Amino acid sequence: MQNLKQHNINLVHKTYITGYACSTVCGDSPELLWSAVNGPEQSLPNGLGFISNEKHSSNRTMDIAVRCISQAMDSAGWQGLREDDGLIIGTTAGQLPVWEGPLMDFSTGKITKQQFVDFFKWEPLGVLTEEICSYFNFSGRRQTISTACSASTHAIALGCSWLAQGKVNRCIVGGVDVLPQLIVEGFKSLQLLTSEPARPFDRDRKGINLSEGAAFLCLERDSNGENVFGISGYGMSCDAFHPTAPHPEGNGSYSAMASAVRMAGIKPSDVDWVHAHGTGSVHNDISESRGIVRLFSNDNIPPVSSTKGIHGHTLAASGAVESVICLEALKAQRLAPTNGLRNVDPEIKLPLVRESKPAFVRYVLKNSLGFGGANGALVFFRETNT
Amino acid sequence: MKSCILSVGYSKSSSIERLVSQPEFRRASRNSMMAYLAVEQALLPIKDNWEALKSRSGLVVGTGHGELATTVDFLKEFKKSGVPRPLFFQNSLHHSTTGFLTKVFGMTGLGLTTSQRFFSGEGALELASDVIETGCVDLCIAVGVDALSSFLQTELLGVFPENYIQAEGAGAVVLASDELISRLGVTPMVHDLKIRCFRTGEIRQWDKGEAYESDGVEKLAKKLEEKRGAGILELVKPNGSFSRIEWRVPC
Repeated sequence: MQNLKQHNINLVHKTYITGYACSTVCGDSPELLWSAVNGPEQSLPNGLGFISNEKHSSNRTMDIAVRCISQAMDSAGWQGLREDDGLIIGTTAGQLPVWEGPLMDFSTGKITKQQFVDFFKWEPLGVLTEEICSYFNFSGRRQTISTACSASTHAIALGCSWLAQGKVNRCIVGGVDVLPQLIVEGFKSLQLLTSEPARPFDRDRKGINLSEGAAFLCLERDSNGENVFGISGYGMSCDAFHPTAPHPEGNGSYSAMASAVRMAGIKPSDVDWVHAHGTGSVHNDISESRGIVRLFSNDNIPPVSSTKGIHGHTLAASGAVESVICLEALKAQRLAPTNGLRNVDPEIKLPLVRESKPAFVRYVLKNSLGFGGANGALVFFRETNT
Repeated sequence: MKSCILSVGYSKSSSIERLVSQPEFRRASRNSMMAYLAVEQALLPIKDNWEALKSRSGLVVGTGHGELATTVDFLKEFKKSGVPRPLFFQNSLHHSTTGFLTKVFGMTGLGLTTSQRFFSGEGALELASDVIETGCVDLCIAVGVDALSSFLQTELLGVFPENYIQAEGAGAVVLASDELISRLGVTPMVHDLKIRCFRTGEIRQWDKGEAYESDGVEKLAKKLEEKRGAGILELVKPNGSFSRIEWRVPC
């Protein structure tokens, strides 16, 4: 391994994933998501993706998260959460959709101060996690992580660390985000959105498609003997560069990926597939590709994909949603393509996957970037002794 | 690997006056400026070593309300003019304080933001210990920060029980691995930090209180500064929940 910083990673051990679930614009199961990213090209109407199930719910973030967590626990065979379990949720918007509309109404005098306060009580971000803990009657260790678009990747990494430290016996980790007006208009103000289909790594890419999503993984120290998948490494770093733009050379991204690979105890050449953050924004794609090229020393780069062209960018949930795709790839022994890719940007020197194809997949590297220079990476493995 | 507390800092909101005229703070939020002052003070004892340490240093910011002031500014401005303001948006995210501080102090180890209702400060301390003990970084600064916004102070005045949300502040605690402490040849303030949060009462209750949401770090910083030695700090939260932070002194 060349040029990797010598980090003193302690407590290295594998974390097993015994169940998982997701909710995206492609449907409410990992199978539907996997089928969509390997199927014919689709586009999100006006470049925005909304989950339709809870159309009439007054608190969609909460409803989507609760449903997804329940499904993940069912798939792992968990009967509920115990006191010695852990729960870590990544989110950016939290329950903002509950109170941003009433704020507008309050500011224009349509509702009274007292009426507004009844909505405003959902403002502190941590209330989401507390409400979810209350719903599941869970009194154990919990965290709400809000590191922008890498939040659920960080949540997963921290879940692994809690298990390694013995702080919890099992841990449910993931992320959820829906699309409030602040997020959609905010991204527009930064000129990062496109109403056309997102085309990650394409020469003619115009920007990001935002969408809603949630995904949760059940982490344990031992496998359940059926689906032997897990996480053997994680990395976190920050760019210390700009509030919204990534480091142009991908320094922070490289550092997070290098740490993850090193912790996994493998060489970069052992990685069979990189699932990139690949938003389709001009700066993200170039920065990330430089980080990947540096990690793999130019001539040894494994196949790379971004699937955001199909399911959109689910913000804080994206790391967890795309982790589900990594797990499905390990299960199916297949690589998903970079949806929407026509002509690769000549500045991007990556072997991008253009069509769904069978492959030997033992290690997958998942990469995430976020505003504020927040980077995270995970190494997923499949055990071959089964 | 164990984590020890190396130094502490906290800021008074009045101190941000000296920052507002400086170019690098022109676009910073009130949260960011208060947190900056706390971190600046906490890093003083190791300022000569900082250049060598910052690539292996991390930051965990705990905040209850996050960037509420700029979130409200963004939404109201957009409602009024129909034009979204990019500066308000980038400062409206919970993570923007962490992004700002990591850039100003040059920390590239990691940057996390946590929010846990009344326990955001305690959550930051826990996470900072975790990332040191797992070897992700050698040093990590836990920050607890919440700013009063004019929205809370004026527009919602009278809605909440008297004395609620009357305070703001920031605290910073520098934690380091025992290996780094030994390498630096310094004596830590305390070690064996144990944090327990006891959640009782209604989650969304807004009741009488004299503190801000993420006050745990600042209160710990002040307690350690005024009195060295082993100790216990119990913090009662506005909804009746409480936390207990215990620590020992090095042998």
